[in-house]
Amino acid sequence: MSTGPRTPLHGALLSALLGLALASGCEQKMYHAGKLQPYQPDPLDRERSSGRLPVYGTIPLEDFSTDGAYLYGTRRGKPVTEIPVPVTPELLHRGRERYNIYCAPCHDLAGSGDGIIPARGFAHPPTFHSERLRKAPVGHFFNVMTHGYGAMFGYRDRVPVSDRWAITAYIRALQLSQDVPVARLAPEQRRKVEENGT
Amino acid sequence: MSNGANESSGETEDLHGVTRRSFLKILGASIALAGLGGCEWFQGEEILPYVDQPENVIPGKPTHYASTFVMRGFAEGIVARTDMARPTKLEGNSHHPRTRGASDPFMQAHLLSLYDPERGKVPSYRGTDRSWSELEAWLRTKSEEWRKNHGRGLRILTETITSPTLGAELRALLARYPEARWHQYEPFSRDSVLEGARIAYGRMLSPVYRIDQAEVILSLDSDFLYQEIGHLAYSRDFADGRRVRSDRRRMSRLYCVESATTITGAMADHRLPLQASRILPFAISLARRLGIALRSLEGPGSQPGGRFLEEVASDLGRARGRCLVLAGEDQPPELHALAHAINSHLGNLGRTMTLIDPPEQNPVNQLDSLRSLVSEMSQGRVETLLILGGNPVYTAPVDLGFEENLHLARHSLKFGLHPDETSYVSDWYLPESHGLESWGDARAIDGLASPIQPVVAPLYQTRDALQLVATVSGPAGRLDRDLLRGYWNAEWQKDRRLEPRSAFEDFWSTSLHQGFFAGTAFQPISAAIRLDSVSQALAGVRPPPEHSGLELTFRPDPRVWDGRYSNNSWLQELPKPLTQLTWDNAVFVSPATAASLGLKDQQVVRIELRGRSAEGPVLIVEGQPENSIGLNAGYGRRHAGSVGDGHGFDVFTLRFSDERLFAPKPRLLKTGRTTMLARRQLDSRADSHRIVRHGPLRQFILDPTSIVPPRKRQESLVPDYDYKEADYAWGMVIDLNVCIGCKTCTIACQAENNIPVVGKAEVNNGRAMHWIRVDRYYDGSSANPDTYFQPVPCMQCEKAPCELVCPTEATVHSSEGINQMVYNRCVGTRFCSNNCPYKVRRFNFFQYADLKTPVLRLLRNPDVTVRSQGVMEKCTYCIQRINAAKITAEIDGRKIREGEVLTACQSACPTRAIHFGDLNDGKSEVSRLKKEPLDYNLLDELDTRPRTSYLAALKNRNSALEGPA
Repeated sequence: MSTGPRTPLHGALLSALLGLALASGCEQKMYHAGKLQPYQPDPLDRERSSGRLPVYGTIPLEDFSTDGAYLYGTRRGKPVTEIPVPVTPELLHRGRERYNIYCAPCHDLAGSGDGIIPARGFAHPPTFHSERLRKAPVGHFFNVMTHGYGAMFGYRDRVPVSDRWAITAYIRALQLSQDVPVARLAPEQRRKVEENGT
Repeated sequence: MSNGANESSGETEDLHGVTRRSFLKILGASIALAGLGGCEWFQGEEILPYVDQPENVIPGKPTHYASTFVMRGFAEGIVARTDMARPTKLEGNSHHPRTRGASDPFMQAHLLSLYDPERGKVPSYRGTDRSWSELEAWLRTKSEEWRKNHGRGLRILTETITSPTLGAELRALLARYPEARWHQYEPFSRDSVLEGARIAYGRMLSPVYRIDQAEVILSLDSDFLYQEIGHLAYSRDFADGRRVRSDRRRMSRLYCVESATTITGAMADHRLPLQASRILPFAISLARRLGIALRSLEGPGSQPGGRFLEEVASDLGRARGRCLVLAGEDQPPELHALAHAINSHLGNLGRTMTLIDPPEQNPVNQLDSLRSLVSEMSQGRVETLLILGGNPVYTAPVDLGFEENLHLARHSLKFGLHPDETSYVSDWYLPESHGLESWGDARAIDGLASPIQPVVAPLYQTRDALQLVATVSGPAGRLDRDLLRGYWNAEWQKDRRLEPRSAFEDFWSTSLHQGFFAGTAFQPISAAIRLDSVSQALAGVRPPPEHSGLELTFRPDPRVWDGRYSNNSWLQELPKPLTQLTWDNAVFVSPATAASLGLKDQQVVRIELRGRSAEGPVLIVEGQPENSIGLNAGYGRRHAGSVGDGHGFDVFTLRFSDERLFAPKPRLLKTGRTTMLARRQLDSRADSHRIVRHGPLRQFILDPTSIVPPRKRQESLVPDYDYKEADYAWGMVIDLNVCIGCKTCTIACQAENNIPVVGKAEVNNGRAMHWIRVDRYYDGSSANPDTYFQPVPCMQCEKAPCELVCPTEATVHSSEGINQMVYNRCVGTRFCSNNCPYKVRRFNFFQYADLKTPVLRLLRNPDVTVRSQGVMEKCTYCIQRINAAKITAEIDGRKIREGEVLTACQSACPTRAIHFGDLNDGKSEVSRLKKEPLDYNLLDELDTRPRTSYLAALKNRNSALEGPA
């Protein structure tokens, strides 16, 4: 950096630019005009959002399947009991990642419903580790994620179908983690449990 | 200054010690101060989010839908990109078996017509706005009448319809009202195709060509690469037969005999320009030469064609079963019948072409159909005329007097996208939903049915054709989507070929998802040629005398067609393939004819024919047949809208029903006036600067390296930069051997990159804004030159001359080798454009982009800045697409895959002439193509090291026809 006298130049530059900016009204043409940004008012009707709704009955290229069980979590009107995709370690990893992003703030990392949001006074979601929800079919969880339940609103706009199944699989894994008969544990884990006396 | 690599790699100081960064700080401070003074930028913005956000709509991320584009009744598959549930770009559907991802200018411009601010928005009755319920009330009283009198006096006029559901609805309406009639008319129809088959096979059949199976192709006035229905698949197949590489040294051979200058003629290895009336005599001589036993064929005395004909005949004869003869839609039925006879004689049927039932619903001779309608109108037998599309007041043959007779119908209703000449004189105007707002279906040239699903809810109070016919026929309350589903449910139950295993819901959703109904293409039909019937039809044909004088030919315009796209500014400003003319039609004459008549470009002449006349400017076109005057329809519109009105002249005023293809003996009179024609490029010869490199295939086979000279490297002022270290090095190769010059790339780029139109006067000033232009070069005699096309986007030079001269670093190089524009740094000195040897930079001399019309904001690609006045712009290799792919790849933790980024021009190209990819990946297609012996750089002697290079064009000459013809 030069250490020479800089103030006069800076001053001149500043006032010149200031004058320019004031004179021209500093229109930000290429920022503002010409195209629509998400959620701007509709140019045809300023009262409405430019965000339209897809026409009823149309089918996009993205996230397509002919399997109603996969898309809607139901078969013949009833929630499905089997996850309609192969359950793999990758799916569970994906499910954990998505669960921790979208679900854990309320349901907490273990799924008992004591997340940071209810801790601040919001309604408590039920724990996944109840008899009712352990017995609930997987399609139930998928449907709740899609459409919401009670105070919870639907997540279908943010969590695509494939991720909803990944999260469902992970919720099943969480339920298992809190409800394993000691006899089914590996010897090493069983020793740990017995040492801790719980 | 830029070191040819990433910008601002180090802080540079100027003499006074103010760095760029500290300059920006001051600038920021001054804006903040200015803000206190009430700057508009700081006023609040409204944000209106969804209350209940729908699935599959992610703000800022596009969603895609398969649907169908219909032109002249026939289907091509499209994929619409939608943002917040409105379409912003159309592409060909790569899964569609016919379209295979190809597109044409009409398909690209389909998007703009959706957002045309002058579309019909509400129904009107004699000029005053009405509501649909008022129409329905009127129809209720009418249908009471029709029920009693069986629909006597009800007439429906449509354009060509292939939609199975709409056809079924119309037939149901006719069954309900048995005395009602359905007429059809389009000014450029397939009458000749269907009538020709009737002569040759005894019934209307439709040919489907397998161009990829043909080694020798003869086009008899057939522009199968651009104008004919099904041309997307045909041009793709044609290109596949001509992709010459060092390991594939063969290509098909195309002969073209034509009465105009078309894309197909430009691609031909040998071309013969002939007056339109001489093409049938040529074909008769050819058939005789091939030894076809046509009874009673005395034949013409003088053979048109001479040595050309001899060589075509022997070439075709050598390739039996591997050749193809195509007849054009603008030729009479007899030529089509003869082409069938020749193809059948050469054993091509079932190999290079098949015959199917016509995909049209109720195929008729449309000229006869319109004639009978007009005669009924003149007798006062038409009480209510419902015009379902088409603009017959403007397009009907002039001798029929359609407009005068229309007034004799008590009620007339015109249904269409735009108000036009016909709606202007009709009682009711009913606004039609755009194809992107409609439910429906249509068939492709091979009969394959495709569903039309709406990609946006109707913007205005419009209805689609299905809904309208349902309204007319009643009962009320049936919805378009239910009609469509109902039809296909019945089909699915009848026809077990359609997905027999699964449920209808699966068939339906799969079809909507993929954009076609699998298994609906028509089965080929075997039919025996009736040579006696063909001979009989040809019995009266005599060749015109040697000097028969002038002849007029009528053709649709390659951009606005019959006027249906007149109000579409993208199409108006897209230069016509060969003449490079924009915004106008003209009187096309050959250089020799112009010389003999003493005509010059832009002179206005008066054409007189059978007591009618039209006035238009002359344009001298190289390769136009002698004594042939080419007229393109679609101009001289009176009620098209503010874009379409007042351009060009109306040639329908010269078109008589008995001479609607071509007309002899017009009179040409000079008016003494001149007018201005805006052309994108003036005549250019290929031989001067070796800009387009080309050579004969034979030479390439002998020595592949002999066509393109070796590259020379020079010392450069710009320091070197090692792009190998970057993640990617983007590059492009354009194969001139398969580029057909249709300019779909230009208009696709316009749609993708929010490129404005500038209007006729500014085009004439050389200020058209297209980022990729397609140059056309002639080589050889001006009577019949060889034509070459060359798309020119920004070359993305590694040693870019433009960057060195920019005082504000508004154009800088990325580490991936892309020469980028930073719009908000540009102060408009235009130094860069002056220093660009390729002339690919475009400057906004005025505020070209329309920022005032509200609906146009819906149209524009939200990922691309809309430029304002005073800013330079140019091709960026679709940097927004590269960055979108980069984000996806980075989320997945991988590199961008080959083929994941398609530039807009590349994905639009019907022949896949444009290749784009990563040069750092040695296995990518573009890297392999750059090693081909035909690869060359434009203006290589300047050594700008462009990232865009070309593969030289080749002509597969017949050695017997070479030398002076």
